[in-house]
Amino acid sequence: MNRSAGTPTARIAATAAVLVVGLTMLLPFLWMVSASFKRLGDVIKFPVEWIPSYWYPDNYRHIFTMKNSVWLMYWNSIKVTTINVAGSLLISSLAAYAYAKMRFWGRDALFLVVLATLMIPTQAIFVPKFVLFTWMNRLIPMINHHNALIFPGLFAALGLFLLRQFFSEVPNEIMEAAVIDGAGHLSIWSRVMMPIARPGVASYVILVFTFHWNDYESPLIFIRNPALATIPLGLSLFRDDNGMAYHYIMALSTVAILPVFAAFLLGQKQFIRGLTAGAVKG
Amino acid sequence: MLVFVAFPVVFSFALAFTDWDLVSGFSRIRFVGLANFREMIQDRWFLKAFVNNIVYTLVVVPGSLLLGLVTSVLVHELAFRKSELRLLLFLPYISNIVAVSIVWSILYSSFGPIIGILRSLGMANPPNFLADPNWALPSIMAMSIWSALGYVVLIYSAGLQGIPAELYEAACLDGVSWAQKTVHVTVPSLRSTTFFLLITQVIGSFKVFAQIQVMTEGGPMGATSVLAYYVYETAFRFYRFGYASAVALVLFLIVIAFTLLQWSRQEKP
Repeated sequence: MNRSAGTPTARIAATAAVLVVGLTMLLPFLWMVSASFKRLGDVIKFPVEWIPSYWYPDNYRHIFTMKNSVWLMYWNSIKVTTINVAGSLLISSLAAYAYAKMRFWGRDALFLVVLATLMIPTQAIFVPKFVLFTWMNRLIPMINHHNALIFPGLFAALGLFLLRQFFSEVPNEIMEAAVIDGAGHLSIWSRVMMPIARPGVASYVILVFTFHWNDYESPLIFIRNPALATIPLGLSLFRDDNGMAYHYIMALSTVAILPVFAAFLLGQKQFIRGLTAGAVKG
Repeated sequence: MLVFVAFPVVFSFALAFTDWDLVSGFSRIRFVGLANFREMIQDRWFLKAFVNNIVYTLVVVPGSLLLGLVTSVLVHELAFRKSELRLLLFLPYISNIVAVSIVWSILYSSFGPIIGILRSLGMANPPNFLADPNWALPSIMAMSIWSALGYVVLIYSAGLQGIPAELYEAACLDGVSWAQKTVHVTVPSLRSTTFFLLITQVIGSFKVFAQIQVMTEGGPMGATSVLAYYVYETAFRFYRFGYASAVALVLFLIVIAFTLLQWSRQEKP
């Protein structure tokens, strides 16, 4: 497996060099965790006390019990992300099945439109989206409502695009066999396609999950009420209101970041496959 | 999907040629032709954001690619404990960018540890990073490289694993040195990976927003404003929806150009 002909010295030097880079990656997080357990006065003390001389867990008590607490931010994020993942998976896998295995008028032209929408940078269409949502407000609540974070995601083109790739590769013979056994489109989709495409589905779920979990722009623009803020917006609003309270801010950041590290370590392989799915063409 | 994506795009094109603030209602929408674009080339805040964005791209993209390439080659070929090291490098990338930006803005602040370290190293007047117009953009760029590095390493590592071993064996038979091997075998073999990363990072650099909004709000004095931030500011701070759409159109065209470039290359076998 190792085709390097490096001498032990070269290998130790290389490891050390990468370790230095790696420590640069790690130190800000260590500082964050350490600051989150300190009183404000100790946070800004120099030289840095990496291990607090005085442990102060009250920072955490504060952020879990304050108005619009961390619980609420997590709840909002979990709600928005879960509905987005489940809903878009359902809609785009059904659509992908139609695009991959059914013939209908204008299919290829429509797919081209779908592809084209993939190119559009989200930042460039916030203005018209805001106008659109303001209009829609008369029919369904959008502005300052979680709907604004949910509806657009349900119809995302990426899932349709990725899953269509996977579905197209399923041989037609398998489908025909299912038809002979009396299966309709719905059961072919649920019993044949989805199980076969499981790796693709998993990658897609991870992509959508990370996107919505981390999305900051949409909540920033469409949500005003702090009680509806997802984690990224909640963090930024809290910072705006408590600018100098570094100890609270660091406790909040720690609570936002560490669970993601844990989830990542548990599902590393899946995560990485999901994140590289866009990179390697299927 | 047509409602949420296609309509906004068309509507955005139309708005770019108007003067409008949402509040005064639809009846007050006024068609102004190319006036927005004429204003843009004289608007020094726009020009500043545009130039800043180019600088950001020219520093962050090559910076993260080069550092990422060197790091992943070192990890792949020499280092011990490869997977643990890669994991370590990956932490900033999986962390939420808002949280990371907040942490860094405190690290950079005048009470933060970075200035403390510089003082203890004997620097009498360390720069006040994010508050100094000359230092704010470099500080944000450094953090952006820091946070993108893990992704670059991840993609390069996948590329490195795909290089056929025969190429290296042939190089070994020819008796070349490690440096020659890296320059003549490894780097050329990674060409398509590099191209992919180059395009995606350039596109990403024109969409950069959260860092700027969280760390400096484009300041001080517009020193860190970039295109996406300027769109946000003109639309949602000053409510100039028409003008913001015109700026968004510029951003849109830049990103589309690079996306098409990528797709045209991928079509080839």
